[in-house]
Amino acid sequence: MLEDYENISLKTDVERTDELSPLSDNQQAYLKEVNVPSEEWANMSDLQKSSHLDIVQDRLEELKVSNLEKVSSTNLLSPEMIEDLMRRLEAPNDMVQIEQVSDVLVDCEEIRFENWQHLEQSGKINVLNQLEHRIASIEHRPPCPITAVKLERGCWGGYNPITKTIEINSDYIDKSGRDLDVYTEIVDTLVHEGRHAYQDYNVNERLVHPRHSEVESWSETMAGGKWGYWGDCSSKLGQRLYEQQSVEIDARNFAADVIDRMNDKLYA
Amino acid sequence: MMKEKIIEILKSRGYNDYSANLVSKELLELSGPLAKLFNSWVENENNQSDYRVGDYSVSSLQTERGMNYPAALLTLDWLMKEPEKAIRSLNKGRR
Repeated sequence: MLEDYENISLKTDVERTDELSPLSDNQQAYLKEVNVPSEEWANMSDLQKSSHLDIVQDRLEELKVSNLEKVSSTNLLSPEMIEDLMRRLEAPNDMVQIEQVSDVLVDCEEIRFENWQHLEQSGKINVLNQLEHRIASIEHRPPCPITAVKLERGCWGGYNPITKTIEINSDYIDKSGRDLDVYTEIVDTLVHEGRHAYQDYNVNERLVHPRHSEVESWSETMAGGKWGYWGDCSSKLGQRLYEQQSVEIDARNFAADVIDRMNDKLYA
Repeated sequence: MMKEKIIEILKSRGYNDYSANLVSKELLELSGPLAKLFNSWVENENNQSDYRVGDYSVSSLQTERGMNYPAALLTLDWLMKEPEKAIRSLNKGRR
């Protein structure tokens, strides 16, 4: 998403700084994301535009964003400002995230099974880390370092909310080069654990998920047994209660939807 | 058995308030043979008789999945009541 804004340049020779600059399509799309109706932007008066920029400012204040230059009609369009806002304001809704994350996977040559199977384990981990960086950018959260770790059978991986890292079972990473089903589960695990990182970020760091009620639901689960979902809380709850935690349902469904869209794009 | 007593015992055996409350509701509704096994475990933590449902048993869930005794009973109960869903979930693994 950030790449979309690379062509935007900072205007330094503007004489009338109170004059609103026209927005590009990408900028309008971004404003739509922060709740400004881009379709109406072109026909709006300066007063109306300022009013909508106030919405952005109000949201910033609601988020208690610190050390951020006040939003105005003249500085909103700076690329630095947009990039900063991108990180701090709402992430795209889930449907958009699913679309964009599946695009990232489809666009990555190395993750395709025919290439993946020839990579050493270190090469596979590098690819997973590169993908995690791009996925984290889409989800407006910091990326988590991914490592291969020896885990017990049946455990594909986990997100550690203390170290903010993702661990993936090294045995399964090895097998993923020889088995298409295992390979698919590794990709699923990457997206699944990234979603747990997103849940953690929303509950404990910054609220960027557009549906606040969902974050509340995640928070309740986590508050029940602080980070009980991480690691193996099925050891005490049994498989069904473990699987039915809101954070697990959400991560499982999100990853499944991403994999489905990826397969649609690759094989449809 | 009273729910409060189950919660109290679970908390004395490593559960926190939230998980004890959550699990106690499920344990009260265990299928017949599993309920007997649970009652025996309540009386004495060392009473951990084995029981099998299809390819899974208390002991296999304990050794291969790291579950404690009540968690293994709850998982077997799910296998008895919704075998397809339970097997799919167990086969999918944890992440």
